[in-house]
Amino acid sequence: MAAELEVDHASLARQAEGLGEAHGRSQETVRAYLEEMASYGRPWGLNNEVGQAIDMCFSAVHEAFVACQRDNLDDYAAYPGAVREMAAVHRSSEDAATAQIRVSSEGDHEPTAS
Amino acid sequence: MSLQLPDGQLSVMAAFLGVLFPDGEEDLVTAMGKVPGQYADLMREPLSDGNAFAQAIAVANQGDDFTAFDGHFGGPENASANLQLATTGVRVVGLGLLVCAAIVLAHKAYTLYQYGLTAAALAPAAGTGGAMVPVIREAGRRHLDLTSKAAAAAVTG
Repeated sequence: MAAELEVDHASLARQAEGLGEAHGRSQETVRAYLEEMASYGRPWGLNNEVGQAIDMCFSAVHEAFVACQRDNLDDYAAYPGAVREMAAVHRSSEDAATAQIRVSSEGDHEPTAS
Repeated sequence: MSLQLPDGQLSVMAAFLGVLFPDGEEDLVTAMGKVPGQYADLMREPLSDGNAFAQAIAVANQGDDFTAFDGHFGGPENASANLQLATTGVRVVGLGLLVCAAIVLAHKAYTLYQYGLTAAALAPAAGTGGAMVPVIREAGRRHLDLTSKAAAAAVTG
């Protein structure tokens, strides 16, 4: 059985906006972090085996982190749109139902020919 | 300020042994190691705000699609949870860099120490006509090589 339907359009719009804003701030924080890390370059040095080992490990971990952030931020970006879509679908269903009820109601009150 | 190779006899030792003084800068590695922790702290706020907005959707609305949205957003493998988990992972990266800074410093300190030992061993060897000089050079190189390998192994695990 379908769950009871209750939609608060005003709050849905706010939550979609809020989710979009949270995503934007997350994306900006990640961008600033990657930029700051890149600004250090490779301070462990590369003219010796120890520096090269650190470079190899850090590069692998950092690449995995960047890929993880990119994929998940891309997924996150879909949420605000999904909420807006749900709101739009419910709104159009309500409008259609209201119009249908109005038509039926007007049909019931039409004067009958005597 | 990072440990530097002092001018003078010790820098001559680098040329004598043919082993470059490590060019790492442990101070910068330390500073870099603190950045991931700051990033993790900064990420907490937008992620937590996003979770609050998503929860509010489930509280204020009822329907199959809202239930599905709540289940998806709140799932253990969704984007928000993964981003949250990544902040813990990135803290570990920061700690790793701090450990690496200590390894870089120790490696530089040992290299300086070996330069000093080699210089000290060369002084009496010069008095014997220089026959021991190649042996001292080889011994110094081997010690530095072994130390570098041990430190690199400590990094790669």
